Amino acid sequence: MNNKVALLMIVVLAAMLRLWQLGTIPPSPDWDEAALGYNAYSVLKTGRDEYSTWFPLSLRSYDDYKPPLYMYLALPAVAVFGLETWAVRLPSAIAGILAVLGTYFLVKELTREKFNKLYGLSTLQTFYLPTIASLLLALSPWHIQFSRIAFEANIGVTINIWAVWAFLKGLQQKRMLLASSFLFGLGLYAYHSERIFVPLLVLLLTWIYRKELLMQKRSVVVGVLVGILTIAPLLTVLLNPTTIMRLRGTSSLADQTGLLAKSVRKLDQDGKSGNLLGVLFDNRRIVWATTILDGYLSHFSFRWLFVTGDNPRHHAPDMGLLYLAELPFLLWGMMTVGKQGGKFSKIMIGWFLLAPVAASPTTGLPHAIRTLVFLPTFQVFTAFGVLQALRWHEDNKRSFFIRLFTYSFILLFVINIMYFLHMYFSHMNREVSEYWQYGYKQAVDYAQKEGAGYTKVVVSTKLEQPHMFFLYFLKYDPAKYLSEGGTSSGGFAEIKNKFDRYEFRPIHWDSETKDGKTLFIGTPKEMSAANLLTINYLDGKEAIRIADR
Amino acid sequence: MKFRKLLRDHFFLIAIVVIAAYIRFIGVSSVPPSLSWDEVSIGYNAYSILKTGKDEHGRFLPIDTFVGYGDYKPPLAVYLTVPFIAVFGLTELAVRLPSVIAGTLAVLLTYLLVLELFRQEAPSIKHQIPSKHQAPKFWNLEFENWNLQAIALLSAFLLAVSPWHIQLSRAGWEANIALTILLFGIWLVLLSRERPRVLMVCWMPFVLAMYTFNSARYVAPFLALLFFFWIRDKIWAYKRYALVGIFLGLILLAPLMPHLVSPEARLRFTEVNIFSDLSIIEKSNDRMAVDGNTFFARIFHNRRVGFGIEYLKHLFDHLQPWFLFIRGDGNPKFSLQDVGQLYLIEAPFLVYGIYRLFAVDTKLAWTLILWIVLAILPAGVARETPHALRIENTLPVWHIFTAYGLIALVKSQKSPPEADQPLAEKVKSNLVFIVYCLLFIASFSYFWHNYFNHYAQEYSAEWQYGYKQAIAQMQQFEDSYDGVVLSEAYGRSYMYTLFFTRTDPSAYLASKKSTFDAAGFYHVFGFGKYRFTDKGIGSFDRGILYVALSSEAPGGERILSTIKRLNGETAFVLFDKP
Repeated sequence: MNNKVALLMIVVLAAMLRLWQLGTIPPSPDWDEAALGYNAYSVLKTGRDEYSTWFPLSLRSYDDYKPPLYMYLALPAVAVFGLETWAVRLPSAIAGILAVLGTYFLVKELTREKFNKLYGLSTLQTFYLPTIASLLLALSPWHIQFSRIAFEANIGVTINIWAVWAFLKGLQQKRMLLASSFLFGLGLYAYHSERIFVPLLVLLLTWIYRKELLMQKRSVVVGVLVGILTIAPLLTVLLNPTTIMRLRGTSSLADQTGLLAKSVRKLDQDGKSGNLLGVLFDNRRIVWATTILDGYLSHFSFRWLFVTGDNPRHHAPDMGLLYLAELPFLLWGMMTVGKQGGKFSKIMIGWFLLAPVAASPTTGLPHAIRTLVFLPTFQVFTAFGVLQALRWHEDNKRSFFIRLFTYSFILLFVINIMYFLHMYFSHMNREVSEYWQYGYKQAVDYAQKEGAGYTKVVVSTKLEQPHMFFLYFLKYDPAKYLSEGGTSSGGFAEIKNKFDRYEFRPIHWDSETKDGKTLFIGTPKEMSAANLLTINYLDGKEAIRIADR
Repeated sequence: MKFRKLLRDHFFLIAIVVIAAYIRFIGVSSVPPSLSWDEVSIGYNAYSILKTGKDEHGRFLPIDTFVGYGDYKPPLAVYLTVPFIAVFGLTELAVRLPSVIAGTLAVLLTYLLVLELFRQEAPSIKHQIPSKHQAPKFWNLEFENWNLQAIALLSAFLLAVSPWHIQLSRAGWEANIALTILLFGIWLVLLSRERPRVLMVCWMPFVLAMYTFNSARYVAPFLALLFFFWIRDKIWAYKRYALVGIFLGLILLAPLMPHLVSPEARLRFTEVNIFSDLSIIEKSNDRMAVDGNTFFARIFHNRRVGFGIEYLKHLFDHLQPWFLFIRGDGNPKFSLQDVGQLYLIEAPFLVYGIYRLFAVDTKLAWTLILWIVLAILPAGVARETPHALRIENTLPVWHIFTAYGLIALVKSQKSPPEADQPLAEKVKSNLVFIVYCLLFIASFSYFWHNYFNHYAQEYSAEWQYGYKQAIAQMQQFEDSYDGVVLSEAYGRSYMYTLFFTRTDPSAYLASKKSTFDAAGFYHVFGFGKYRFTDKGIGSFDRGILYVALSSEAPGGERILSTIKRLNGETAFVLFDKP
């Protein structure tokens, strides 16, 4: 088959899987998507975000200080299509498609020159490799999941792929080197993990290609300058104590008392028994090091990768992040790549080993978003395994059993893919709508329609960041919002948030004045009765209660 | 003379085995701090067999199973404990010695096994078998001569200091004995390549392992099959011997068969397996209903798919990095919680070893990988995963891979070091090896420090600490009371009472009041003057001695004695009504 036709078909497939029903699967925007969407809307209308920061380089949002790139990428889509969920998700979907395309070119670039000889492949076989890798990424459960939601991490993946591609091109064409350093710099604007991963990746590439780079010192210097210029505006943010605060908030080392309790107990015991080794072994630094290594290693878990995934928002029900049928090919591919060596193997294995570094010291691991930068290494290794399998089949295809084995495995693979697509498109919404904070749209619609008769609408903060969902679904005029004071806090002081007649605070159902003039929207836990409306999750569980007395 | 020659030829091996024995034996009565439920049961049943020839249930020399608590223990461990009980009496040492000895033998067997595994295999490594008079010179690093020796010795050493194996060798776990028996069997199978007559007996250890530990009942046949294939040429060449061997194995298996297919055995199985989980069936029915019960929906959402996914979860649990390298089994009886089942420092070499062995000798690599897989497969059906005890039969494969990885890494250095190099050069060219050794010493010291200094204190509750002390106190007071009531809150107090009071088995059989509950578990309500209760202490009477939790004390009692755990918490109080 013609190469270009194959690539075109893969891109079309990737686009279909990423664009179809973009606004309704997953069933509703989660809080981060709503925040990115509304901030884009706000910047579009007023030039300021919800805290009235003028063209922010860091979105304070829920005091998690989001990297800004996604919000700016969402501007055009929100400008053209309005504040719709699918429009907010569109940049991510497009980035996903570009990543599939980028993987093709990246692998093609990596397998240029000498590669055939090193790996003992025919030209035709080398030719297949990029195609298989990009096809696997197009179908990847992990990549599809995050290409269909407005999460910053996905933009980072696409930037990584194209930046490395540009770097490899840049070894021949000087201009591409500049493009590469610009892209690497841009990566730092995309997602928190990128801020650690990208420098490591750049170091890796520089080390591998140190000889080639030394031969073109001038363009390297210009490249470094371009990189510095690109990240210069961000430096104020990176060195800002509040950004560092956020890092501390997600760190697994933050809870010192819990983490060190045992080692403190042991030190105490050593003191009593006069054991001097205790100072060395029951040292908190050992606990810290183990915790971080635990975090790092937790991502090399078969269970997590192939069967369970982590948060239900990060994968389809009963699916892992990779296809189970990929497992043998992945191992085979890694084996082959490791055995044959060469720059290809150094880049891929290095990338693979560096990917979880940024996530290692954080809590709630393994974490599919913080380590999204793994992509596309899994797919490239797997593609190699598939290629090896095809060659093996080619050598042995005279045997009936070999053919039977191959075809049944292909069938299994296809079933695995169909199972994922079925679970994703037909069952995910229903089973995990709770995790997508489903129900807000209905609540906002109700409050908008019936709210006129009330002097106040009180929304419980137990619903998690309700002010943002109300702004988002009401498409509340940002200028008006900012003139009313904007958001006062997304974190601990969130109960101060209010606008128009909406008030956001915890509901104390028994002590509220229920005079019929206040509309209450809250969780079933807080409110014993819902005389007006009960909104259910898609699986029938109660989500939100609305009452006025 | 002969002894000195042996010492000279096998200096390292002897040193390793001595180290292994020392690590397993030293202080075994007090770390772990006390006997677990299973250990007292094995100990007392052995005692009962010794005294009366019957077990605690009055069965005469059972050879299929010991009913025990209704958990139907395989018999061999009990019988192996009998001689030790005869010598040392009903003590911690006697109960634990069989496992300690088995653990030490496993280290020796690992050495022998690796020699056999790598002999004639690993074609790309030039390993001549070292001449018998030439001791391996560790300091010379002349690899061509002692590759094989080095891999075997290093594997044995890694097992000798392995947290996994030390932990399980220092308590009376049947699994540990089963492992040693299995290793012996595998060694015999490999040995039969040179001595075909061994084919006649080599399958018997596999059957014996089935008499030793429940999980081994599934793993042993798998491993036997695996190595049957490994030597199939030899079997074909010596059909007569092989047939005799298989026949003998089957004969040995015959007495166990009725128990294996019995409803009791099945009851235990259903209790621990994942397939009785109803939520999976509900989920699959629910999904089918959503899809309108179409043909494809019934295939995709078949409960078997659900159970398959559930099984994979439990299977892969055993390969979780935190389990293998960071914290180990969640049950403190099997792991310190500070060190993984393997040392973290072993991880890179384990991966490298697997990778190298696949590159060098695919057949051997597959065999070893299949060994791990086959040993894990049965454990995946259990609810409690990962489980260090049930997959102990994966030992010592991890260590073989690690040893191979390390040797291969040292060997892969460009210029092999020469004998007359200056020391600085030698150090430089063996830097990886030296750094690894230092890190390894640090890892082991860390483990050993924690194990010896902190483990007993941290986890004395998990080891049912307090029974021995409480019963000793009880014996001081009991003469002045009409009866004693003991709380069952920590489980199986009747067995601890039997064990630590050394009650005569026939007296116990004559006076016990007991029953099996609906789930097949055995409960003893009393024997002699002792009563056991799991629902508080019941009526609070004068003239009765109570051994119970402090939370069970009714108020107004007179505390006679308080038994504390090693971390200072109260385990038991002894009280009466004044």
